[in-house]
Amino acid sequence: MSDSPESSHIDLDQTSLGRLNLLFAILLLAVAMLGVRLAMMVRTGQAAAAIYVERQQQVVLPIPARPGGIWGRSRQSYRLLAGSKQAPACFVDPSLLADADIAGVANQLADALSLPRAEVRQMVLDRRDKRFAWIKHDLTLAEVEATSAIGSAAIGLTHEWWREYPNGSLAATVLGFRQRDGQPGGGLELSQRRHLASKDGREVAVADAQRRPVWVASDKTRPPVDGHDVYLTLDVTIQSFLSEAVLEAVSTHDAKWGTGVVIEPSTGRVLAMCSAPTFDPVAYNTSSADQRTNRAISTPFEPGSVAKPLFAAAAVEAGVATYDSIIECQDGFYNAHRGGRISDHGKSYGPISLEDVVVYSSNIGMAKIGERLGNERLHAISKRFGFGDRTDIGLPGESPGIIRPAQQMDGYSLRRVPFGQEMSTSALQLAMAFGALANGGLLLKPQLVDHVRDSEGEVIWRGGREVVRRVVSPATARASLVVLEQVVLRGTGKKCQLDNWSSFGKTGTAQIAGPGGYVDNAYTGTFVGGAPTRAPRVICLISVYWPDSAKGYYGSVVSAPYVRRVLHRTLTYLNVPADAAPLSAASR
Amino acid sequence: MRWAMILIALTAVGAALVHFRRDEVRHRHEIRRLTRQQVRLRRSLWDQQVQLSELTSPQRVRGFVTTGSLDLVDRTDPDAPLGEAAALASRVPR
Repeated sequence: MSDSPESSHIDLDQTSLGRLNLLFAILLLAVAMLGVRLAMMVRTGQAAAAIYVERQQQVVLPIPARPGGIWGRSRQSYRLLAGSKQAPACFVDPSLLADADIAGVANQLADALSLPRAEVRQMVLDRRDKRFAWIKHDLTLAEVEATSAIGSAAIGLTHEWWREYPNGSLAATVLGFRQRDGQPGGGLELSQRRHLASKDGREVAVADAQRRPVWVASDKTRPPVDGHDVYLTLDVTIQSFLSEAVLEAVSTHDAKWGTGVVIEPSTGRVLAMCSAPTFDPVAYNTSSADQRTNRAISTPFEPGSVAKPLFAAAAVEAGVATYDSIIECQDGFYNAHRGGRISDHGKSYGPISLEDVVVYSSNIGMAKIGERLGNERLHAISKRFGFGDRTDIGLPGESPGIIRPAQQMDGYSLRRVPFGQEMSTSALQLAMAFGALANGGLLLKPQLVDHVRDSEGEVIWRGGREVVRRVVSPATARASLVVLEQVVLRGTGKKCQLDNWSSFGKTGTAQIAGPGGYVDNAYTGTFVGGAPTRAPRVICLISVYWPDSAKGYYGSVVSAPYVRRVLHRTLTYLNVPADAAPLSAASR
Repeated sequence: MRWAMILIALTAVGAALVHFRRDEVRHRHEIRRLTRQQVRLRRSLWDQQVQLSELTSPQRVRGFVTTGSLDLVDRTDPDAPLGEAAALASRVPR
């Protein structure tokens, strides 16, 4: 070994030099390949790369927007029937926890959320191999603060939408419900989703390496758009009157179900609509489909005698009879040619006026009216009053009811349709048909939504009175109202007499049809009534389906007293001036 | 001398840019803070709206009257006791 400066010089032989050159060439090639790859990425992968970069550098923070609320009337103001709120909820990402940390974090979390420690530990362990485990919903503010203070990356807080129905089951079948994910599940929630839907806003921010937002990109930020508020014609107080009455009618008479409607005949506004049994929209998943059905619109039934005044009015309008025309009622038993046997429920009437046919609810009398009208006209009358067609109230699942095509109507139909058999209608259709007699002869479209406001409070849609068609002349309508008043004063509807107001109405007791004909001891008891007679403010219909026949089944027993109570309470609530004097028969 | 002037001008421009940038960051931060506050307030408003409706629902009011033993009569009830019914009837406008 030499100490001279030359000794530090490394002598490379030819082989080593070759190896170095080879290495250099490989490196050069690698650099060249990287260059080519870079050029390819710049040329073809720019868009994808930009997305990657954006994902890494940006955080999108949602700004919640609230779905619209549904409001019911209450005198001159409105009350919330369905509204949304955001509730904090806590979750854990078990994969971020080491085995040794699970017990400690679970215990801390359990203490913060006032839950049993073992339960929280089990929740985490049950989803050990998953990335998400719910711990608790609807946290209080104190629980949120306590949970945040734990400071574990595995614990997360989020906000969930909760749909609240502050009035519980009131008008539940009309409102519908929302599923846990916010999707509407029926009723107005479904039919008004176009208005109620909201659009969340978003705030886009440039984030640091730890995903903390440091720079808000204002140009990419989008404000939230709240849903519109839907204001109904339903009155919360009248709705509670009707709901109580229908629930009591159903439970007292052990009926399968019941339904009721209250309308304002002059405008077609629906003031109340309910079904029993009903359900709690918050706990919709514990209810059956039967409970969630809006019977007032979606379950047609044979109306029975309650349809008589409509066909009688149509007969008067057609000129085939007047209310003073004498009809031979065959002493309670009529064997019609090709029309089967018809009785008057054990009652025996001889020749009586058409008014008394309606007042005493004679089937035979109405069968004779059917013979005068003929099937073609009976079918046309049914259609004119809106039977067989949806009312287009704007609720899902509405049934048009059933009426036979004119060409399929026979001798039986001729005598039975006029007293409400061989056809079926919904409660709402019947109420609107009676509304036509009460308002001077106009069939109106039922109105459930009064107006819609956007999130700024501006009215963006307003409903109004919509005339479908004229069904009878004002004179015929007025004469019919006088007859209906007589039903209450001296006929089958005496139980609907009011202390302070004149009233009118009609009972109906229809047999329920089964697969092999009418079922024994199975009836639908209906009463439709209104008041005051001179200027009807409200019409109420209550129908009770298949009550226990031992506890009563006539419309005058199972429905009329409840209609009376609803009418009394509603008129008092609306401060309608007393008007006990009956509308004179001379005023026809 | 000319170079010094240019240097000073550039320095001033640089300082102004830094100042504006700082202001922008501060304002953006303020926007974000206010947005979060707005979200919190909106949540609180929705909560209160729902609570108010719960407290004023007919069933709840009836419950308060019953549990509080308040001496109130439902004037719409046709089956109110006789003395009260007569008093109520007199209140119906004629």
